[in-house]
Amino acid sequence: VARDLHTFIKQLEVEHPGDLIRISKPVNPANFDVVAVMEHLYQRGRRPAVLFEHPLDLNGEPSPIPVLINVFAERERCATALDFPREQSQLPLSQEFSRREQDAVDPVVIDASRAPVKELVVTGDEIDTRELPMVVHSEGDYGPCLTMTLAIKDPESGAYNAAFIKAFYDFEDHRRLRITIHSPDTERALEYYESRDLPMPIVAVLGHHPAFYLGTMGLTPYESNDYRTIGGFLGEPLRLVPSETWGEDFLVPADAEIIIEGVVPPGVRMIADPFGDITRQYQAQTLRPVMEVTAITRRRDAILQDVFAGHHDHFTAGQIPKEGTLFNTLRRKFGDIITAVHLPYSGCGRLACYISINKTREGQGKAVALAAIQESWTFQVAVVVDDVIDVFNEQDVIWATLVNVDPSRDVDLINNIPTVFTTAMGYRKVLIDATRPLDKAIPEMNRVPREALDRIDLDDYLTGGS
Amino acid sequence: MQRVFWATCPTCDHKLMVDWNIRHAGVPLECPSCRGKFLADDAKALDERWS
Repeated sequence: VARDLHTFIKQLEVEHPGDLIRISKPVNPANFDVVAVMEHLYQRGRRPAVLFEHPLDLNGEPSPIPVLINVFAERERCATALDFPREQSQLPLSQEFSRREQDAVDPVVIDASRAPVKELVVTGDEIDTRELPMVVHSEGDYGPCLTMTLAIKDPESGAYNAAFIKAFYDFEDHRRLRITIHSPDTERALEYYESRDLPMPIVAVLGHHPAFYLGTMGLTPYESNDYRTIGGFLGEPLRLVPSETWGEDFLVPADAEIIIEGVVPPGVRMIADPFGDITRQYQAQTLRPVMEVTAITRRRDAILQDVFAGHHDHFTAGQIPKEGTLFNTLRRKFGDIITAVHLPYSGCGRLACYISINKTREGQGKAVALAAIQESWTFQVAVVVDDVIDVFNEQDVIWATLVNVDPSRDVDLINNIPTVFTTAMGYRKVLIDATRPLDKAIPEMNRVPREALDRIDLDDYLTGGS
Repeated sequence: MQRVFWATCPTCDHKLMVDWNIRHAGVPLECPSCRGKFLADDAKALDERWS
């Protein structure tokens, strides 16, 4: 049996009961019912995957397609998706991600008769995006939005590239979506097609095994084939099937829940956004490309997967791969003094990076921060601490910053450097060396002796006296 | 940092954040609240502060 979203749901329900909640009460995703349930759960400190079994579609009619959201919200759940031990879901998981990136597996093409995503096929005048239970995510959003990946094919190399791209429902045409292309690879492909006045083929993959989506987050070169990379994450070849629109010239994932096929007409831009996005801020309304839908195919038991935007579900999916890449890059440059990296949730898994080092001479902290800040355009702040600090414990990182940093020496502002997000920091980045100075006589962190910790078995004391 | 401005919908008073790139493009904005369309110059109010 190929790995798909259904096998993952079964795995969760067997191995980790409570990690997935089924909600049978009808919900209207376009009227914030789904996100309100999710927000309540988050406010209670709970972040399970949630399957809404009876949503309404955009016509207000009961939809046969359930909505699954919040799959990526917990690192432990992402570990399960990669068959990796949950107890190693911090840095080891990020490192495992980097390893999988290098472990590509060639996809296989199967016949349409064996492809679950071909069980129901709609083309031409029968296409109606209103039949999907699309979610509105934040107050003030442009409208209902699909949040999973879109895939394109590089016309020269033949490599497929998949990236998370928002696709808004188009209130003026229910066979069109307004898409917010902002991934560099997809932009590059669009430029290729538009410069030749050609429509760009594109497909939306609305539901698959979470390893599929984690595989799309790899920071691989443009020419690499994401369908191969995804196979490395799935641990098996990704099964592909010819599309309805282009046949074997554009292959689509056979075990996806729903595929929307379409073309991006050259030079067409229409209004889209706002959208409450990754930084928990709205993206401004602007002009975006559109996708003219040519086919919708799905499984009979299809589930529409969605991301709880601007929450852990959104943060974690990008946080893990960036940590792995950053760790490897810094290790190559600085060697074993790099001990851990983390992209904290306070920075939405994108804006800040914390790095711990085994500092051997003064100035290393700044050098590491400078290298780290260049690793991603999303990073706005890099903080380097000593290896006695757990970078996954933000309280300790802030403590180190408060006691070790001399602002006149250890904080640097870099002006006029590209950034991605609209924050008040603008085109600036900040480096903070929060390691303990080696060239000054200052206090060190208090500690209980290691010998005592090793000698004292807590369980003996908690149970032995009773 | 991407410059934005705020436009107040003349129909429903919804405040809409818009990319500065289309401030003078002559493109009708679309209000997510009432789905009405309006040009930025016809907004009930504009907040274009920028430093």
